[in-house]
Amino acid sequence: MAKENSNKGYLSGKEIRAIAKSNAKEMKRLEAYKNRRCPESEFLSQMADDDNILEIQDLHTFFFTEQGVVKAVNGVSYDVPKNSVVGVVGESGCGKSVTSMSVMRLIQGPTGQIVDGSIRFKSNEYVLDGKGQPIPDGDGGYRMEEKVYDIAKMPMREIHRIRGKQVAMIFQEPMTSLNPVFTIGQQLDEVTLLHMPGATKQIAKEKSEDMLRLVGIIPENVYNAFPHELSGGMRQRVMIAMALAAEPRLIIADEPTTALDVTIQAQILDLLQDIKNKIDGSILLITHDLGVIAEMADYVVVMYAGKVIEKGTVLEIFQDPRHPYTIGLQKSKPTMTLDDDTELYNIPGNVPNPIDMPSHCYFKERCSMCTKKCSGEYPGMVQVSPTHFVACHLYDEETAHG
Amino acid sequence: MADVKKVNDQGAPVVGYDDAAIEAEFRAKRQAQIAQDCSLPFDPEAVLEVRHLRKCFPMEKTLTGKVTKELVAVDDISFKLYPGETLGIVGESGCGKTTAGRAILKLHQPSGGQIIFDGQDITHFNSKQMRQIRKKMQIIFQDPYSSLPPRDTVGGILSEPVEVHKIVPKDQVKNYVLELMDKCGLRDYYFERYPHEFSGGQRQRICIARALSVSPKLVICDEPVSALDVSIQAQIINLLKKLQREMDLAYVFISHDLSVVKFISDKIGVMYLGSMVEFGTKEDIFREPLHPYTKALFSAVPNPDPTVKMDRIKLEGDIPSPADPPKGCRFHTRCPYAQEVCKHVPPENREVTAGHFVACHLV
Repeated sequence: MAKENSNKGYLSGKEIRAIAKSNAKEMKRLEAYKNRRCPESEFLSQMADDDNILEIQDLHTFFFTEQGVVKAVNGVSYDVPKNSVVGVVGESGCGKSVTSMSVMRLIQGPTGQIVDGSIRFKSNEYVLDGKGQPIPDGDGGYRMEEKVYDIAKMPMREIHRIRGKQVAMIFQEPMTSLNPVFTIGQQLDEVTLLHMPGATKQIAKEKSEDMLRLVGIIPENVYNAFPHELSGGMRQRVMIAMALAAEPRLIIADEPTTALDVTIQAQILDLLQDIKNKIDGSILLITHDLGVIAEMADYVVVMYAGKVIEKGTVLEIFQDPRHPYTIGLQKSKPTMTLDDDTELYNIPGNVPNPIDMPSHCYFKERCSMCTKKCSGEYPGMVQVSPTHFVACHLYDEETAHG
Repeated sequence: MADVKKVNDQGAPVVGYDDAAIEAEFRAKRQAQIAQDCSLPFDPEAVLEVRHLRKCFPMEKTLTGKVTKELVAVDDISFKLYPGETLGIVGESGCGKTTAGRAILKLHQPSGGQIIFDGQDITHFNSKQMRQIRKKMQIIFQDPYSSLPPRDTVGGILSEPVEVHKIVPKDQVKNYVLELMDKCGLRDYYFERYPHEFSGGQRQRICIARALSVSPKLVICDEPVSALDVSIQAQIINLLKKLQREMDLAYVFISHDLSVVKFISDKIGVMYLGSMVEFGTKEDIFREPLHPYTKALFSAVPNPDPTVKMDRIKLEGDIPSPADPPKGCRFHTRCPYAQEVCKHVPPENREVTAGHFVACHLV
């Protein structure tokens, strides 16, 4: 596919048709798999480690475009432990958002498809009787049970069991992710009405007002307001309230503060910290800002060109970064405490073209510590401490000895 | 201004402030100050001198076209910039930093004050006169995706200003452009290519090359790295610094990212709701920020060191609407140290130490 012309970056009509044909076949197969009917047993799974709430293993999410297959997520694995904040950091186009969208199954089909891998999520849901009604437990609540789902294998018609209720998402653009024609109150109430058994409008309103108070908004002023009447920071608070309304176990925050000013960002980060302590759940925080990660996260995952290149605890990543990219990323960010202002360290070059990925390490062309080995196959994950993993040939020795 | 407190019938002062009287006095004082400053001789060394720049946008008009309500986007900012220097302007969105940059270039006609560029008062120049000045002042925009013409090649984009302003003879244009591209880190075979073939960082290099193609003295950089990734950001910042050294450029660097501004600037102005609340050299401002807003802004930047837990100065609420700014000090609604006087009396811009200006009652 596109071999002879790939150097020039142009495709002939023949090549485009060949790509379209192979894409159409693959997309049709995956769409059918997504829309199939199947018994629950087919997508039930087991966690590898019981302390985790989410385990992503060898996930591949591809986009079948007219220029070729874009391997946006190409074999990503990481875990989100219970009651923790996992920060995912990387440049634009590295697949950090696509990974989180895959968890929510929000990848836009038919071009975007989860091709391979598993996303195991431990959900905590109501036990249903034969009519699909929850069974009261006698204490005013309902009986709950834990189930492990493999989200990647779930058909789309079953996804409502998880989306919104068990996993909630906070988007980057608070301006565009609220519906402009409904009031804040209506949009918040909807969450409760959908996900809480036996909820009435009155209960939903009380719950919404509680949630608004939790995120530091006086409900009287905002409940009946439309999104355009609020500022960016307020809208992001409403988004957080909405994510919390169904009491999810996992909140995915996709660049929650990127569109906001620093002073408002500080407010929102404080709020997320505060909420993390109040709810019994984990946060998956996706951002390109190393400062935000350092402040919020317990564990850090560094992604580059669709792969995880380093993961570990926040102290390991910031005090003992191993991968040349992680080291370069930290050095190239000007900081408030930096006194030397002659020249910034910079990583030369650009991210490789996502359609024609090389077979060797993707970072080789930009790397300053290249060795002979780097022209060989893609490096595997090397464990340098019980929690610290890095994908780089420089550390191959360490496993050999350890 | 404590003497303009309310008085009762006997002429004895009562508790409280007479807002109307305070405003009248403040205006009169400022008018006098502006008249005095604007009649001073120009500084021959400075490449750009801005005196009491003001830009208002009409919000409501009567049927006859008389403006009844105005939005003051930029209110009374002044500074001097010498060749080879960088002025960083920081502030939150909506504080008027971009409007200030555009007003300096006269892309917006200023509503008041003076802009002295290269020894000439250009405030009231018409478009014909401006054309001669334009080649000495250039701008780099934030978004490299929308600021390049999609139907022209890189060579065309870069040659056009050179030809229009007759920088070099016609037969040397191509060589000149290739040299310029080399300087900005663009390969020579990019000459034939179109903007859509490039990544954000490369496009920003094209924008920089275009701005520098007419060998300007002043470049306004309006958030040039905000749309770029961290590793590309560093490349562009280093390029801007290198070109400044080589061509003795003066930059006005507008950004909301304090760490970038700290890295590149010599002088820094902090803006809040249209006015400059603090101005000084980088050393002054970062070693000893005096205005509470500057302090809060600095402490809000997340620190990329997980072992350091910062004690933040928290600002409550959002930036107020510039259409209806608060009375007195504009920052008093969010200031953690606000006192009664701040709510009524607008603070004056005072020089605390040489070259370090602060507009705050409490300093």
